[in-house]
Amino acid sequence: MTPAVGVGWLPTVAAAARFEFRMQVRRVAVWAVQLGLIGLVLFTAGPDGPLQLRPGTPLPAVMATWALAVSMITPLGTGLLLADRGRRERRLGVGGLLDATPAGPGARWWGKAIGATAATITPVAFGWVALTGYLAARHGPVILPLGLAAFAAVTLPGLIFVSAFALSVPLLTGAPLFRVGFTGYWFWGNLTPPDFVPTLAGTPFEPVGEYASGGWFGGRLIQALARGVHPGPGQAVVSVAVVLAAALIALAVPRLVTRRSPS
Amino acid sequence: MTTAHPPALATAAGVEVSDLTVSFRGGRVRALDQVSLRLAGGLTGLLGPNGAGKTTLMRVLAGVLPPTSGSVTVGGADLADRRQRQAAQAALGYLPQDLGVYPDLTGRQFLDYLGRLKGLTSRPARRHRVSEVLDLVALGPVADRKLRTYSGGMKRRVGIAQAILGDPRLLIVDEPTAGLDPEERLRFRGLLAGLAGDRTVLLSTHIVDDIVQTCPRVVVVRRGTVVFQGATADLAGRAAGSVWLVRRPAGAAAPDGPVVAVTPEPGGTVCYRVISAAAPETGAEPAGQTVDDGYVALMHQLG
Amino acid sequence: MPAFPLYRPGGRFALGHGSRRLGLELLITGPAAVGAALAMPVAGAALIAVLAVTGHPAVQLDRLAAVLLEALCPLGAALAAVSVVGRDPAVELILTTPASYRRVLAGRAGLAVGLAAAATLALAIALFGAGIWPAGPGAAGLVLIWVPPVIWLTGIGLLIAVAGRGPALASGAIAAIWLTETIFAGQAKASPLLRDQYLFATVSHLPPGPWAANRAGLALAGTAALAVTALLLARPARLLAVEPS
Repeated sequence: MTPAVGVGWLPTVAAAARFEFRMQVRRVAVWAVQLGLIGLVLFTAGPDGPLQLRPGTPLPAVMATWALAVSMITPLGTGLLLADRGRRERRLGVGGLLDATPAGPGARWWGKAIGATAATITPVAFGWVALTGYLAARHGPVILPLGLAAFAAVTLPGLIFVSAFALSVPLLTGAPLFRVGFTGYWFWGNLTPPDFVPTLAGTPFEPVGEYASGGWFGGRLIQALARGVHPGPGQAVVSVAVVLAAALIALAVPRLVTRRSPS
Repeated sequence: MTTAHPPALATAAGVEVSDLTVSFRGGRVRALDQVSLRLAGGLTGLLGPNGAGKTTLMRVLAGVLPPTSGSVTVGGADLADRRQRQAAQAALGYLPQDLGVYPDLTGRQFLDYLGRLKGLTSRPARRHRVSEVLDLVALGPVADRKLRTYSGGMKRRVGIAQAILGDPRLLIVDEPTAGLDPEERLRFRGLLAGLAGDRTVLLSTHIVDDIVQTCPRVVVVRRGTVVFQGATADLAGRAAGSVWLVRRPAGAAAPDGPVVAVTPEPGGTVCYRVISAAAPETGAEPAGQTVDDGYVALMHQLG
Repeated sequence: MPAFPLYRPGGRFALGHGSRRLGLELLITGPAAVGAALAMPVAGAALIAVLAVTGHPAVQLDRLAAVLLEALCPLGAALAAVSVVGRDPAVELILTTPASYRRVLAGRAGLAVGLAAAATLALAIALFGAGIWPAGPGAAGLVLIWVPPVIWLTGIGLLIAVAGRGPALASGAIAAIWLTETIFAGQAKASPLLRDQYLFATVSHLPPGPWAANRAGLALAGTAALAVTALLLARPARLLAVEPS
């Protein structure tokens, strides 16, 4: 008896996500680059924390500042490592094979986005857990929920934002051009002082998580401070919402375009 | 007609492989184990299951992979020496199983590029030769289309064209007819047979009929070792007295033992062609052996 | 089959054969890599032009010029160069020809870097002519501000790309190294050993003596990395899958 034909959207997303996760998480480059970047954060941190944290800073602000430091650097690795994943099926020549299955291309695309993103973030999360454990040993177990909250609120939105664009934009530009353009954008849009050149750094549109860090946890501010902005909780909500919405749009656009113009 | 090939490669390039071993991952994987063989002109088939080491052997002969131990000479050129290996490669044509092409080049540009890399430095002669081989593989009308627009069979023909581009003395082809339609397959067989007169051609394929039709000699590789090398007809002899026809009702379980062919017959029976040292069951009918039978017998160590 | 009399035994494969081969290599390298090579100089030129027209302070423009030439353009050149490694669909075919794959790869990486260099030089000349120029290097900076960082980053990047068999690890490593140098600027300038490997000597206003030594140090180290890369490519089959499937 043949199995029933027809694969639901969610099961396809889950299957694709699982596959993409396994394919990406086993790449040595993913772990080497991401852990190397986290190591950079640790190496540059002072005795009280990164970004010139002062002694006596409240623990929520400490964790948020650590999360901000990680968020300034690891998205760069994330974008560079994901740049070649979007076109992988075409490159390997399995696109036609997958298109001939009942699994819809839309579900496969979202599964790819979820799985590849999760895999590339996994080493960052791994490093963050290790760091949180270390800080918990210093400051007590109250650090643990703060660490989880800070990672989720400050670091994760930026990583998701970068992942979405790293999967979508190279479909148009190719991986090499994306890598160069993205590196330039990351520095211009997040790390460049606004008094040096006009930039998105320090605005709610920056994905680095500064607004969440300052608005929800009282963490360190850099470019926002240079603009004279002290974001509150409401502004933090707006910033995270804008960043995540941009990520959703970045992932949705390729699907809309390919659905309209079947090849 | 003159040729400017080095004297050792002026005729068919004889291949001598002696105690060749190729290991990967620090010796944990042994793709080829003490392989010795000799190819002396004409067409030789290369058979073996997936993972047997056929592609590794071909890559070593093509100078792509260095041996871990042992020696390989092609037309008298020792592949361990860089200059001799380059000389051998100048007279080599190679068609890999997974042919990669540059999608933004046209067929003509791709061949022109490879022609330069093969040392065909004169532009007019190279262009003439490119046109020649494109016509030989019937790609002349589409030569100026980008390779990304080519079908799988057309790409395969581009691969064949680049392999014969430099008038090679040693031609190594891996699954050359994959993706070709029957007419193209027959044409390619004729092309190979014509080439083999004064060349050495090593043809690796899973299509035993291609070997039976074109190769007087065959090498069989299994788990990194050569288990047979000799006349193709002698390979059939490995199954002498071991081929049986077993008939069973349709839907019944297949008989035990390696099955070479399954043929439905009128009346609702299925005829199984089985390789077995003795009659597998009462009523089994002995049959004459073929090359397919000999190959299967060899793989199951019955021959 | 007609004989083919035009192969010269022992003849070397000529790297250049005029514009025709250059055209083919450009097509093979791909528009994405070409775009990557040109992106930073072109985007930088546009940014400076817009800021200059809108009346941005001159001292900021001078600093931006230094950042662009010394920090961003070499980064773009290196990222473009590593993109040609490990992405060659015909590598197996090329390895069966007498041509040296080392030279083929060097040609393609050189093409990517050459394009970036040409665009960067054009940008430098335009900036110098417009009087938007960092204090210190003078006319020597037309070449010395950006060439040594290009050699350094490209050398290290190609070494990692060949060792890692692809561009992903190399581009991440280049970005990480670049970041490290940004963050450790103070320590780098203070240490005589690290100072000569510091990428941003012009942006950081190093005095002329240490600046010149720094440029020489970067060029030497980058050349050494390229030499090691060439050694690794003595066995180009490393760029194939180790076990054929």
